[in-house]
Amino acid sequence: MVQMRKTTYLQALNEALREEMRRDERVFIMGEDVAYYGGLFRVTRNLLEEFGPQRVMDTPISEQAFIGMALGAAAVGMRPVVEIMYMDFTLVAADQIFNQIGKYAYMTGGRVYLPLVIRGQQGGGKNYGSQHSQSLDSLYAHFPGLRVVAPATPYDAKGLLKAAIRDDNPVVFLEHKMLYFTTGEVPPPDVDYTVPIGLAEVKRPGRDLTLVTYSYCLLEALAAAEELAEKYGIDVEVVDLRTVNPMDTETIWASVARTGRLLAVHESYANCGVGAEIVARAYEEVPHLLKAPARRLGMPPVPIPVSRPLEQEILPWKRHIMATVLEMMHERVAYA
Amino acid sequence: MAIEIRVPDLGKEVEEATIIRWQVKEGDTVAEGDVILELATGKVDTEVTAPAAGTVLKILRGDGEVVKAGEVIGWIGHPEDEVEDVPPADESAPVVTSAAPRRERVRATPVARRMAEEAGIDLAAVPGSGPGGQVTKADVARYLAAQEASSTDGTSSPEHTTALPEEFADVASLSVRRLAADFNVNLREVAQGRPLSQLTRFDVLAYVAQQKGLTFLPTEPRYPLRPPAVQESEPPSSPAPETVEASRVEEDTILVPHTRMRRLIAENTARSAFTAPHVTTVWDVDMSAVLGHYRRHKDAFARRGVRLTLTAYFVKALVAGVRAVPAANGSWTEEGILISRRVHVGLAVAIPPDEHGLGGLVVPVIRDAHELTLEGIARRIQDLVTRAREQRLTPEDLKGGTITLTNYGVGGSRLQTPIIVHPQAAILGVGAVEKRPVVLSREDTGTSPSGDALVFVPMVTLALSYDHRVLDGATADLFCRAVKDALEHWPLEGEIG
Amino acid sequence: MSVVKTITSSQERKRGWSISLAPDLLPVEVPPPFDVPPLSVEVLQKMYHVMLLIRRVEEYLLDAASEGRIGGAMHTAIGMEANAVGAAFATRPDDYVTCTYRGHHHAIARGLDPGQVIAEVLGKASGCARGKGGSMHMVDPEHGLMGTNGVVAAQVPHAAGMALAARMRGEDRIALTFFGDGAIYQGVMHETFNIAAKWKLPVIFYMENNKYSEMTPIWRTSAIEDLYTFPKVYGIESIRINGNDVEIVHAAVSWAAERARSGEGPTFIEAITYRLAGHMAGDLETYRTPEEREHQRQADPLLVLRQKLLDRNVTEEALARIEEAVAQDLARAVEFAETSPWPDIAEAYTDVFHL
Repeated sequence: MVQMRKTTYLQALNEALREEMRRDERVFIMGEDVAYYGGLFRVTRNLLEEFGPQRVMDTPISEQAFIGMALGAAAVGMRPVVEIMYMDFTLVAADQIFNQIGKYAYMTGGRVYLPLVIRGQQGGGKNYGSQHSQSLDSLYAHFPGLRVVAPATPYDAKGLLKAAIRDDNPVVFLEHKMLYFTTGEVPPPDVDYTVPIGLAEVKRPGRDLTLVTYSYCLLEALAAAEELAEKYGIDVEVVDLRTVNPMDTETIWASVARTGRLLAVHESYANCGVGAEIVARAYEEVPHLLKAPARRLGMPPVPIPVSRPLEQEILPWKRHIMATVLEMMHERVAYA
Repeated sequence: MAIEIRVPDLGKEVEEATIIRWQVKEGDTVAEGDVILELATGKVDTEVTAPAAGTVLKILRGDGEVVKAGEVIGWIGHPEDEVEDVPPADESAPVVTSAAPRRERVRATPVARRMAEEAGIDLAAVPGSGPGGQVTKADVARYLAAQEASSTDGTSSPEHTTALPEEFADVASLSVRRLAADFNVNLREVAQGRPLSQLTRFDVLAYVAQQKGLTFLPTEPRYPLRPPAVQESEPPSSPAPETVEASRVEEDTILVPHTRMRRLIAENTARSAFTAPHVTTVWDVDMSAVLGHYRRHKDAFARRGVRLTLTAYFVKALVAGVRAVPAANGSWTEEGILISRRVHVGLAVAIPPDEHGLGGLVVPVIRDAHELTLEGIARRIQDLVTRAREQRLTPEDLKGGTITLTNYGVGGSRLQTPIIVHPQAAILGVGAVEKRPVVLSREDTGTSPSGDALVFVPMVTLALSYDHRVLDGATADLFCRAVKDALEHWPLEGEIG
Repeated sequence: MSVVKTITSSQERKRGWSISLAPDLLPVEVPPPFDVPPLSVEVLQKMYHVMLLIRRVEEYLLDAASEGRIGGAMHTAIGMEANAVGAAFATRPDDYVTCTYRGHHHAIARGLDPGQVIAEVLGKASGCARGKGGSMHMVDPEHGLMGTNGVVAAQVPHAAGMALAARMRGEDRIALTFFGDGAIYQGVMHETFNIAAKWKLPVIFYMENNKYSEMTPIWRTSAIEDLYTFPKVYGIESIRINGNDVEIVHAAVSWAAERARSGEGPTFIEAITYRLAGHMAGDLETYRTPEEREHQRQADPLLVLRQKLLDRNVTEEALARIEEAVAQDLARAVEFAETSPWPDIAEAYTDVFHL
């Protein structure tokens, strides 16, 4: 029996990197301020001391170049982990990520493949404004060739980061700035475990409605579910997608089979987003399981404001989640 | 030259109708525009007029038969014209209503229909052995057994397969192709020689689990892949209307095929009766005040073009009941009692019986009755009843009722126990208004030595059937008390005395 | 021996432009930082074989494109073969190469079977990328060709990453990336110059300056006349050479490769060359005169090398034998590609991921 211990999301990520770098010398880290400073959010702290400047490298602020270099290194057998300070900045290197990394294996007929990880934090809640708060998961999920993972708990963060580093394919690993100092149970460092990419998990069982979400929204959803149960007697089942691409719809459908209602929640923009995808697939694959119209909740199409009340207003967090769930329960009644 | 008598365009959603009765017989002479037959479509009936003057040469479809829009059902012409004895084949029949292909509705018993739905088969493919080629339960069972046999021995009849046409045989679904891309799967290896269109996502998932070692992936669905056989909303104990086997139709019995209206009435009443636990509470009401008001105002209403009826007062009183007990205007759902803030009163209107004594029933709706004055209600009733009699009601007229009034008193009945219109919570029945001897006690008169007096008062008996899941005896009676008060203390506030 | 010439765009515009057959037009000599030892006649004959094969394959492809058998954008390097062949002969098979969408010549020079090249361009299952990449995505990891690329300059950081990987593993492999003059103004180019210089990566930046950035002469859009001077500000050794002389290309790349292997960091080579065909199949070539192109044919690298071989006492008969062998190679390649099957539709979904 493994003795679990409580640790932070941040620490879990740091441990995952450290353990994988010890395990496999092909793994190395590149990014802005990752070596001597230890990363803006301290995810890579103390790695330079253990692994040296050959494996933990500070880059200039040149996302295109170092993401492209990660491609090159991965193409010839290395396992680079690139840290992006804010995922918003990956758009600077959009060509390298979407046109190059995502397509490389395919364009070469499978003769070259890319075991690399692009990781960094995204999301709102800390008043960073429009260019430092976006969630890009829907964007990454839109393009072929990228695994997209977005863990919400320290356990999943560590297990998925280790799995991402071991995966032979490009993985976009999305952290959330609100999650770094959240805590959770994680096995001790000597226990080697991974969480498989592509597997969702029911984080809270419930009878009335299936709420699918991931990343920080999971915490908001769980809080919303508790309050909905206490105040309104609505029992929400919360499914943590964990991996956005490939999407474990089977776990979702199994849940919808129990509840008959489906709501997908995410912090990336709702328009053409992951939630729309989940809802569309529900209607394509399991329409008979739905006893009320499936819904999604994401960010409205506005840039993210700095002002606290404005940012709180648009984030699809607890307040909006509860309102949407109540609407759905009402709608079900109205259509009955 | 003979002219076809065709079933007219029946409206957007309506594909078929039942011939209620022909008004003419072969050999009759008609003028253009004469009504020659009546058709029932759903709950709204319609008349068909002669397309030309002449002699009815041939009637191809008899009373009670189900016919399609555009179908030729007879011929009119000169007595010497030669006409065919059979309706023209489908492909030669011009499409009267719309160019869109319509699915022929197959005649089948409800049980057969449900079996076919559950099994996911097309009823049109099942040969029918019942009356008029009607598909029976036994037919479906035979068909399914045959299918089972042919699928196990590897041969399947092409016209019954659900597969795509040959040229699309290799088109896999997006779900399947997405999984192939996600897990780098060559679909040919999964298909093992089958066309790609036959692959399901579980074929791919099983292959991935087995060949790629991703054992955390499911290989089988953990949920039903098809809709459940019986919808939850349907009553589990709903008595399946049994089919009459052909052998039972003997010379001393006749089988009158169901009209759509009959079928709907059967479905709705059975569903309600076996879903909502019915209780009926019976109240007697003194109608003196209402009749007084009625006599004082009916002529004035008539001068304004409105025929005032007692029914209008009952509708008004019903609204008063809803004000007192809003839940009566609601319905039971799993989540809670759904209460409408608006009162749409359904009004049961009888359709005259045919020669078999089979009548019918429509329930047009007085929308927003709570916002209407007595005159407003009277106008609505007049309009709806007139159009119901003329069979000019539209589907809109029949939608959205929240509570219902049935006035069986017009037929002389004092008391019936009505069945609620599903999914409403209550229906108020009204008997005949008649003078009855009533004992008045002393404080009312003070004239009799005993203190009591026998008087003759116009009375009516009301019966409220309610869904006991929504209302209880006490709340139902609160409702009735409010109705009674409204009637006995007419005029209501806001109404002209 | 003078091999490096400085030509300014103003002179070029005034007088037309030529490379090695008209040395009087190339006024300024820059002393080369390396020797150009004459290559053996045997090596030069092999080079001639490969260069001629490249030429014949691309001529075949242009014909196929004009017949409508090739869709999309197909870019040939007719007139630029010496760059590919000189560089390939100067590097090892385990060195890494990336290049632009104009990459048939590099693929064949690295050793990729021309049948697979043609099949790939035609989209056949036997192509080097199973028909999924096409003309712009030649790949042959066994010969170090890690991919040619559809986006200008995108492949440049890839080579730097490969060089980084080689150095991290303590190998003496180098990476070589080819791009055109048009790539110099992509930001990622400069981002990569900086990192490669700072980290002293074993990478060679090889610019095939064919004078046209797609359909626009480079002097129309460049504020700088001497493109090879750019990387100097990042501290990168940078030279300009005659890219139509395979011996000079070979010498320059050999020198740069040696620098890279010995830890001296990146080298930038601006090779002056000329694209005798259009930017892509179907190019209207409205941006230059037929006279200009015909004039440039005098400097066709195949003619340069052929003359060189004749000068070194190789007989016309020997050259004719090479030319005959090339014709047979081409016939075999075409036969292979044209008779190869199309990929099965199930192949559309494979290779997105490695699993």
